[in-house]
Amino acid sequence: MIISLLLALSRQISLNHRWILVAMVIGILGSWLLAYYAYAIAEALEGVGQELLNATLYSAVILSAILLSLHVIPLSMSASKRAFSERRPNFFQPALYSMLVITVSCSVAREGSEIWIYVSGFLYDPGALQSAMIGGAIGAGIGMSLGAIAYYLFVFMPKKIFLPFFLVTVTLVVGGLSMQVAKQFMQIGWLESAAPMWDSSFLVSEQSWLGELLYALLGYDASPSMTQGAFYLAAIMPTISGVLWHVLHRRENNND
Amino acid sequence: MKSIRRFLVITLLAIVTLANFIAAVRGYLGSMDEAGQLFNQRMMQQVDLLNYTLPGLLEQIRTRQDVLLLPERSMDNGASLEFQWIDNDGQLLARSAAMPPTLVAPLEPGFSFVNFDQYRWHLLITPSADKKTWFILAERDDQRYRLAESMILQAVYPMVLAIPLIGVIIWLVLGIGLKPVSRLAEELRQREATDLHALEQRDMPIELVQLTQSTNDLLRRLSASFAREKRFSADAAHELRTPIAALKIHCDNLLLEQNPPLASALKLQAGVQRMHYLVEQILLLNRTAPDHFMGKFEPTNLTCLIKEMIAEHSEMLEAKHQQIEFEGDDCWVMGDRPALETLFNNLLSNAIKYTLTHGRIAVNTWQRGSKVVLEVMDNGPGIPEGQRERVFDRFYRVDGDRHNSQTPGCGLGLSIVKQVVDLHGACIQLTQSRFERGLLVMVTFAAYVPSAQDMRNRQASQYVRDKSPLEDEASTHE
Repeated sequence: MIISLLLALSRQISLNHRWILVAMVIGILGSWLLAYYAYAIAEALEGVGQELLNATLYSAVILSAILLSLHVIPLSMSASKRAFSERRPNFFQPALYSMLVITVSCSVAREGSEIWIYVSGFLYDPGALQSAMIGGAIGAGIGMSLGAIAYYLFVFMPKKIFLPFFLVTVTLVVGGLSMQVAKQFMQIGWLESAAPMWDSSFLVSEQSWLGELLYALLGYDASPSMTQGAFYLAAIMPTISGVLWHVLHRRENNND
Repeated sequence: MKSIRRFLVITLLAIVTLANFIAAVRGYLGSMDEAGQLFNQRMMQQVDLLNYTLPGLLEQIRTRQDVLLLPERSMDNGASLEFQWIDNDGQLLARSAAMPPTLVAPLEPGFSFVNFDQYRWHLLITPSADKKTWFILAERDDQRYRLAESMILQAVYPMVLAIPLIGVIIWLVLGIGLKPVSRLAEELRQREATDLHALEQRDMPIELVQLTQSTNDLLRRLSASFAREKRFSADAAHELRTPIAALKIHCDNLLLEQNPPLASALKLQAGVQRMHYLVEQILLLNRTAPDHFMGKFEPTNLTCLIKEMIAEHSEMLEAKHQQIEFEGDDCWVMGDRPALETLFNNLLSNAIKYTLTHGRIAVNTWQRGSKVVLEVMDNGPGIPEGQRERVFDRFYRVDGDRHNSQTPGCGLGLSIVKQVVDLHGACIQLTQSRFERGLLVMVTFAAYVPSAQDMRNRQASQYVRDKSPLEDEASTHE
């Protein structure tokens, strides 16, 4: 989903697609390293290495996604094509590509390492390996198909609709990831796991298919704690303030 | 969208994969439930079987004082059914070999799960038909799951394996479907720049008819515009001829009336002469243009033609005290005589123009197998190697207007030569002169083998030539 969205973004703002290759290579290599050293990582730093690494990867994704959003805000605000190209000076390009690469490679490394570990678990059970491979192929097929369909949907969206949609989606994803960061810190006891703010499991249970889909897309948590809420707000604030600043700024300009 | 084919292959394959795999997952889950039901049913049938066989043995077993152990029989990779037979007091009467000698679960009728012997087991606990004893049927969960899965996956395999095949088929089918587009593109690409004929619309799919019609419309407008542009230069040059001729006469009269003539009047005469030359060159260029050429190709004696042309230029050669040498074989080519005259005239005029007073010019015609080579060589300033290709461009002059030939020129001479060379399927080459400096122009034609009639014509022209000032094949003008 995030890869389709970023690929569509780079198509919509006329960037070269080559960054995805770099990001995928880094991501896959990274995921393999993480899986290979999983035991050492888990043991490191008095047993909190895995959580800290997860939190770091999530944070890197969050930061680069926020920077990307801040870059996209002025583009989505300017209606005319001229302003669109004017607002993208050349020196921005390397930074833009780095943000895209960081977002995708960290996400792929994080999720990919779990796949490696899952697959390696079946290597010692040839009977189960076959069905696991089929299950994996079906899962990958569904994932890639959804990704491809989403990509073309995003690409064919008019820019005026796509860019705000991108901002909203990325902000929600960033919020969801920030809750994961908070969860990691609470697991290792660095943060107090206060009482949950609410419990929406009666509405959408985390175990239901909708709950799982929402978790995969937006990091849905049925009973988030106060700390998680604070992290969520902190993560979505930069984008929201960016949007507000630009709206006010434009109104002032119009008044002048 | 960079490629329609790629877009369609990816989206169609994604939709087929999604539909197929979601159906597979749905089918898998449904089938697993069904298989569970089937296994439960099997347990109940087994209970019926035990009801037929075991109660008759009850008295016999009670006298034995020990538990009857029945041998285990199970298929490889299959899920074997185990059982325990218990009386109403909880006393174990018989069991299959894989079951423990103690009760695995309390006697509560129905299906349940229990863990023993390091596995998770499905249990069916039920009283016997005569209500005097109990049966506990047990089946290993992992065996049951694996058996069910191995049956169901047989149906899922083909779906997964079919996806790459479907992808290839979609790719090929789209390739066939999009062939008219690539054919249209190929037809447009292979066209000559001057070919502006309408595209063929027969057998064109309806999706492309509109595109073809728009393209044909554009081609028609382009063709009309090109024709207008072509006619314009020829018409303009033609229309300019009369006023320039009048100007020339008035200018000559003016000079006659003035004694001594004014410097401005002399400059005026030079300007009019230059304009006259330019107009003539433009008309010549137009006449030798491939799409306007009206000439008649016939066997022509090139050697003869060249000798006559040299004779015609004798006045110009004498004026500059230049020395000309002619040597060569008797060469025939298939060509248009006036066009060939224009070609040689321009080459020789250039040589005379750009060679200094007392300079040397050499003209040769050589028969080289099936080729005829015409060489015009001088010891003038020559053309730098980097500019030799460009001199064939219209209005291009070496060193711009800074050259000091003092002769009228407009940069069309070699363009005309190139056009005549192309018309005759010949090739032209500019190289270093064999003199100490200067230019060598080599034009290579396909040779023509003359017939007896051509030879008679040649003798007739020989008679005419004998009366001309050029007396020998290797003659010299001083």
